Amino acid sequence: MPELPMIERLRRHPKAAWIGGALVAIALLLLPFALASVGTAWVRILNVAMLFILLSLGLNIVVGFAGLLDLGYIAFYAVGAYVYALLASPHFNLHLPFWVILPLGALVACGFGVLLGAPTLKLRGDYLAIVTLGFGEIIRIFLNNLSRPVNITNGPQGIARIDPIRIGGIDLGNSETWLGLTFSGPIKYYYLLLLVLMAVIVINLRLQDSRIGRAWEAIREDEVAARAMGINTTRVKLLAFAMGASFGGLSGGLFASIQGFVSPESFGLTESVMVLAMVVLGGMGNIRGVIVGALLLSFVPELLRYTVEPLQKTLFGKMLIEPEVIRMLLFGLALVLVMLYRPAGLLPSAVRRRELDEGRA
Amino acid sequence: MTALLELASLHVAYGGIQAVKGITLNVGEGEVVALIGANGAGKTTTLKAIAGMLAAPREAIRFDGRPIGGTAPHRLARAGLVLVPEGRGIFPKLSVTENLAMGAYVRNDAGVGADLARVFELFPRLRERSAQTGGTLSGGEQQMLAIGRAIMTRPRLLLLDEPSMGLAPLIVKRIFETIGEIARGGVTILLVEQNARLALETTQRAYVMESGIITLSGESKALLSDPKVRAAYLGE
Repeated sequence: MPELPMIERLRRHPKAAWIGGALVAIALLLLPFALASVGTAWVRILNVAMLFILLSLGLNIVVGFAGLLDLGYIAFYAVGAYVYALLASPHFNLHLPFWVILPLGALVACGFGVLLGAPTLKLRGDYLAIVTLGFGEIIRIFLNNLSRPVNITNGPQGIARIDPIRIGGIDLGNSETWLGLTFSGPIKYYYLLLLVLMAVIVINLRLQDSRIGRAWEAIREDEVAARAMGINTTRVKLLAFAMGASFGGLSGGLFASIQGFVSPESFGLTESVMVLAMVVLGGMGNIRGVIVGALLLSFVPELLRYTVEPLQKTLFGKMLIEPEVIRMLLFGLALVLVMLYRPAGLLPSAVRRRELDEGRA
Repeated sequence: MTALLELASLHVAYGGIQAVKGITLNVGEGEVVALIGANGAGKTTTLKAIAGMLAAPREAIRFDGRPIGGTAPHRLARAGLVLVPEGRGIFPKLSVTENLAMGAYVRNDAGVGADLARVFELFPRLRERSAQTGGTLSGGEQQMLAIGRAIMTRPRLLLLDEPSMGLAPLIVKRIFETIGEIARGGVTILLVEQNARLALETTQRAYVMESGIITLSGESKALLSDPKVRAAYLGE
C-alpha cells in the first residue's frame, strides 16, 4: 500500500488528529519560554526565522506557484519595512498605529509588485530573472540615495528608533510579567508572528487549491495553452506578483517594528538569494517544504555559530577558521548536495516531483 | 443557416510578411468546414487570427454576428471559440484528468463531471491513461487529450489545426472518426488540414487556400472529384 500523505492519514483518525493538533499547539505556545531559558537570543533567532518563513511563502507564490523567477524579491520586504519606518518613527515625527501601517506597507509593496510585473509580462526564465534582479537593486540604491536634496530615507544611516507595535495597552517592545511569567519583547513578538504566520499559511493553502492556483499551475506549464483555456494570463501573472509582494511588504513592516531600525544594507541581493534558496531547498510550490527550507536555512547557520567556535577551541586550542566562513562553506555544500540528490527540494510538490521523475526516466 | 463565423476579406501579417491576403469565408452553425492547402498557404495564420493569437482588424472577423478581430484569446475561449493548436500544447506535467479539468477552467456549471465522462467515452484511451502525465503520452494520445480538453470548455466553435500532423495513419483515422462524432454532437468545427483527402471526407464544405488567398470552395464531395483538387492535393 502506498504511503498516504500525513493529512490523509490524520483524516482517517480524527481523534489522533485532534490530539496531535493540540500537542503541536501547546508546543508552539511553550516554545519561546523553552528557548528563553537557553537565552533570549534564541527567541530573536526564532522570530527572524518566522519572518523568513513569511518571506519564503510570499516568494513561493511567484516562483513556486506561478513559475516566475524573481531575484529581487527582497525589494518588497524593503518597501514594507521603510513604509513602517517612515510612518512610525521620530524621522518624520509620525507615529501612526500598526494596524494602519502594516496593511499600508503590504498595499504599497503590492503596488510595487504590479509595477515590476506589468513591464515584464512577456519575459520568462533568465530574462525575467535579470529584470527582477535589477529591480531589487534599484530599490536598494534608491533607499541609499533618497537623502538628498530632500531627506526621505536618511540614506545609508537608515532610520532608527522605530516604534514597536502596540496592541491596546500592550507594548510589544517591553518586558512584562503576567501570572508569574516574564513575557519579554521578543516573546510577545513571537506570538504576534505566530498568529500572522498561521493566517498566511491558511491563505496560501486556500490559494493553492483555488481557481487562481490552478491558473498559476497552467501558466507555469504552458502559457499559450493556458490562454486557449480562457485564462487571462496577464491578470493571473500580475496577481502572482501582487500577492507575493504584499506578503513581502507585510513581513517588512513586522521586521521594522521588531528590529527598531532599518537601513538599505538589510535588503541586498544576498537576502534575495537567501529567500530564494529557502524556497528551492525546501521544495518549490510545496507550502510545507518551503516552511522547512526557511527554518533550516535560518537555524542551521545560527547553530553553527554557537558550535563551530567552541569546537575549534577544544580541538585545536585556538580559532583556525572564522565561523562566518564555515557557515557559508557548509551552506554552499548543503545546497549542492540538495540539488544533486533531491533536485525538486526536500519536500517537493507533487507536480514538481513528477517533473523530476520524468527527467530521470 | 446562420453563420457562426464570418471572415470578410481578412488580412493578417505574420512576422512582417502578409500571410493572409484578404480571405472571405463563413462557417454555419453546426457545420463542419475544412480549410485545406499546401504548407505555407496561410491556413494556420488564419486560425491563429480567428483565435485572437494574432492581430487582425476588428470588423474582418465576426463570431455569432459580433466583430471579434484582435480580441484576447482568453475572452474568445470564454465566448465558446476554442483553438486546438498545432503541436497540441497540452500541459506536460499535469495528469490527463488534470489537463481535462483545466479545460473546464472558465466554467462553473454542474455539467463538468458529465462532460469528463463524455470525453472518456469519445477517447477510451484517455480513460486508461487518466493518471499519467500529459508529457508521457504518445503523439496520438496527446492529440486526443488536446481535443478532449477543448471539448471540456463546451465550445460553440472548435478550431482544429492539423490534427493529423506527425501521427500514424491508423491513429489519424481514429481521431478523424471522433471528430465526426463530436460534430454530430452539435459542435461547429473549422478544420485546417494538409491531408486533403481525409479533410474532405470528414467535412461538408471546404475552402482551398493558396498563397494567402482562397482559390476554390464548395461542397467537400464536389471538391473531392474536382480535377484541379485531385491534381494538386490528392496526388492523382
